[in-house]
Amino acid sequence: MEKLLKRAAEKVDQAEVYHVRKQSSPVNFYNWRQADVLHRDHDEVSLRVIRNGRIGVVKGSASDDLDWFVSSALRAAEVGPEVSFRFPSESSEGCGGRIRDPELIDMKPEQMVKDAVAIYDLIRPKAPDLLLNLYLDNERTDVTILNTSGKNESYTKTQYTVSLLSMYENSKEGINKEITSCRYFRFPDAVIEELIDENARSAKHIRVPTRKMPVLFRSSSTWSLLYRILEGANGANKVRSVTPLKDKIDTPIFGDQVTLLDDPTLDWAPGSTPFDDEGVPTRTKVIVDKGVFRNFIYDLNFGSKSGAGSTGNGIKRSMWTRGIEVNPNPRFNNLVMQPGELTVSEMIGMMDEGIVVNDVIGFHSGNILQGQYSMNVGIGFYVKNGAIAGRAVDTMIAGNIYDDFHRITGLGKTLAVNPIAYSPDILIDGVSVSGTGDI
Amino acid sequence: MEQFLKKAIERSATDYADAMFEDTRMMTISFNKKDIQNVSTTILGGGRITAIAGGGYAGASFTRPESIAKAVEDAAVSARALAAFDPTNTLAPAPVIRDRVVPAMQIDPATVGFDEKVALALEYLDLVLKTPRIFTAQGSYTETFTRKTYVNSEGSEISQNITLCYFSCRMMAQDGDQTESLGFTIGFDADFSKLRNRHREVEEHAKLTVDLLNAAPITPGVHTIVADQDLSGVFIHEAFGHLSESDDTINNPSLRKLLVLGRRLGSDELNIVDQGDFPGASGSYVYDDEGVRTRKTYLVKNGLLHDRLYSRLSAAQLDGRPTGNYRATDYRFMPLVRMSNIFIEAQSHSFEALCDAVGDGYCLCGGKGGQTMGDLFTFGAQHGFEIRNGKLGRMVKDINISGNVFETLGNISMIGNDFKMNEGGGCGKTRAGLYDMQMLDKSGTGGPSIVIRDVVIGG
Repeated sequence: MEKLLKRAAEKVDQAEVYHVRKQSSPVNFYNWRQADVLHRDHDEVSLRVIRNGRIGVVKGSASDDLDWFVSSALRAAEVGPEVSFRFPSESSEGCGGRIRDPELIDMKPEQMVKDAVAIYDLIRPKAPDLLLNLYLDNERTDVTILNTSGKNESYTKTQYTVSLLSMYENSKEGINKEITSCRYFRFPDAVIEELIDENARSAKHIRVPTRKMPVLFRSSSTWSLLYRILEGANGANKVRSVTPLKDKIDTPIFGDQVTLLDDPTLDWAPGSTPFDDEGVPTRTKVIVDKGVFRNFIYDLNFGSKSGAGSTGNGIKRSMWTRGIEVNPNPRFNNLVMQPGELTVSEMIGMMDEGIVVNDVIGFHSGNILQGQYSMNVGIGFYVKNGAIAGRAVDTMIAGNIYDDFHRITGLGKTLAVNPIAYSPDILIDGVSVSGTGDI
Repeated sequence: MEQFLKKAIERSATDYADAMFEDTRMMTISFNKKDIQNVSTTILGGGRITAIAGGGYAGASFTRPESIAKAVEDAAVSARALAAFDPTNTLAPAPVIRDRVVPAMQIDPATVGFDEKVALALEYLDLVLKTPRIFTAQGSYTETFTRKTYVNSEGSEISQNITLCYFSCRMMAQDGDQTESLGFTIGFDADFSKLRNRHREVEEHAKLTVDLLNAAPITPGVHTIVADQDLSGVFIHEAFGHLSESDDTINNPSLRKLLVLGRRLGSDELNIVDQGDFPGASGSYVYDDEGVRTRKTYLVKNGLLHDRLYSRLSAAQLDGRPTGNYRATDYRFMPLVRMSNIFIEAQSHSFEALCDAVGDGYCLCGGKGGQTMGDLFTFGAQHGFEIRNGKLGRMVKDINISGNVFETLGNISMIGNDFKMNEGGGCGKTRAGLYDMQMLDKSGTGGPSIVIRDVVIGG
């Protein structure tokens, strides 16, 4: 990598090499009986160069063809956008949390097979007919960043992921429970019990009525709402003047129960990191403080355009990509929504009539930037008189987070990680529910 | 490359092994309004070994060619280890293939200069941006050149050159506080000539975005609708196509019972086809990741469930015939059974006749992406029109449709003659939650306009 930086530096004003090696062995088990594993050992690299004030990027799997990398980056920089930032030199010593678990580094794939069999063994006597797919992965990521400002820093992150997907009758999908952490864990019995219980309660299908009612978003579904905030607080959208939050710094945008932090220091959180994908040291930022909007997040480019500077949120991945596939964009490192004090059963008990939402389908529907959503309830339950009455089918929920987050009536006391955030369960009053029932 | 891969798997102590190496070079020129925002070049080189030993199945993927020996070893060891848990994997027979595939095209994008690509994108962006009330647009030109080499221990040797180029644009229109956003893709084919002379369609997309500002939100409820070609394609992909993917059917007794071949799903007029060799369609390819040639598969014929999409692995388990649908996003993933181009076959009714049959209802247009959860599906429509007395009326928006697959297939009451394949496409599939998600670009949809009774529409 030093060679690549040196080769590029000869011809440009500034250069950056970002190198990621990912080693993992995802193991899949299908319907009790079938299994497969895929060993992965992937090297990826990106080269960014700045020449005459213009930037060019090349990325991809590591190649010995250094000349191709350098010449492609130079060609891109000829017509690339003008930028006015410098690659960072500050050390990230002391930044980030604990993200490297020696137990995971030494773990053999056989352990995942054992863990999977243990999950099956636990479920078999309780729910012998439950169809269940399992996905387990132990991933090690080694990251190095070098730039012509003198930066040369690395970190190693481990991540263990276990995902359970049960399948309903006549379906290839059903209840999904997944946990991921930078530290090895045993999948909690309580979550398995919850899956078995929810599966049993799903046997009764309920066509729900169309009206406003409370909706309890389980933490497995809140990412669909919080994604709207990511777009709203994204500094790129501020610079482009398309976010409704553009003039809302220090202004209440949500009810005072809502506090959101971007916390890259949280131990064992997959989003924690000492520096972002541009080498900028990370720090904890308040995004929303008791309902009041405090900070946009920026990468180097949009940070310099806005004058605010990078906030250490330049990320070279999008939600579904695994490698270095996108140019840096402002994204949260590790969004954390502050929890409340309630349990799931307490919040269900608070509802005369309502919906519990485990998973949504169609999170992309509605005007995302404006905070709107209009989603189908994938896995959800209808609550009557404080108790789950059955699975809510053909149910859609719609609203706008900038209205709905003023009507939060309960927050769960535990946090669970989803693709966007560590989030509690969120109970919101008066959400538009539309269904096909007339109860 | 064939010799390199062959040598590597020759040493594999397994019952079966295959090796694939792909080299992809991609360039995207992104524009913010009329400024070049980025020129981004990607090189993705990597390979994948899969192996069967004692009935166990495993794979290994790598980026450095010198890692291939270790990958072969890893796949063999894991296949043998997993056989203790699952010894059932075998392959349905498939012909040994030796072939080289080069895409047919009038104009190879590699022969078109960078400046011309920029100029064409700017022409289209200019048309969009000069439309009153469009206040911003982001566009991109993307081209991908892939050389993919595949060998297996049965003697197949296939090399495929896969070229793709397309222009995508997302536009925003504004009126006071209100904004609307729409996107479109043109091209999505090896042939650069499909990107030229598309000005009229670009203008129409821009006008549609602006018109949405004044459209009324649709009234939620249960309605009879005409779904246009875009939407009928998305519907058949989401609602039915995913259930045809047979890898998910193995060991799932209720799905096997539900999807018994010969079951009636719709009227005699209903034919549903997956066709990977559909000329010019965005999901077309020649050989899948097991080296099986793609073909035309009738999934539903005359209203009856007729066939499924298979890999060699799943065909062996379910007594089917491989259909050439086993595909991975790239070397970093294990293949899954995926659709190629899926559509309902056209019938004789004109679009006007469909609207007449609806009487009072909606015509819904443009798929906005969707998802399926087993027998439940949901997806958005970009926009729609009221139908009153069989005539199209005012525009509506904020449309989501959901329902049960089997009820909805049974509710398709008329099929039009205005067949068209969509440009662009794409599909996500997971078998075990979000961490397992594979996004695949080359997945096409299309069809004729259709009438569906009793559709649940949410706002």
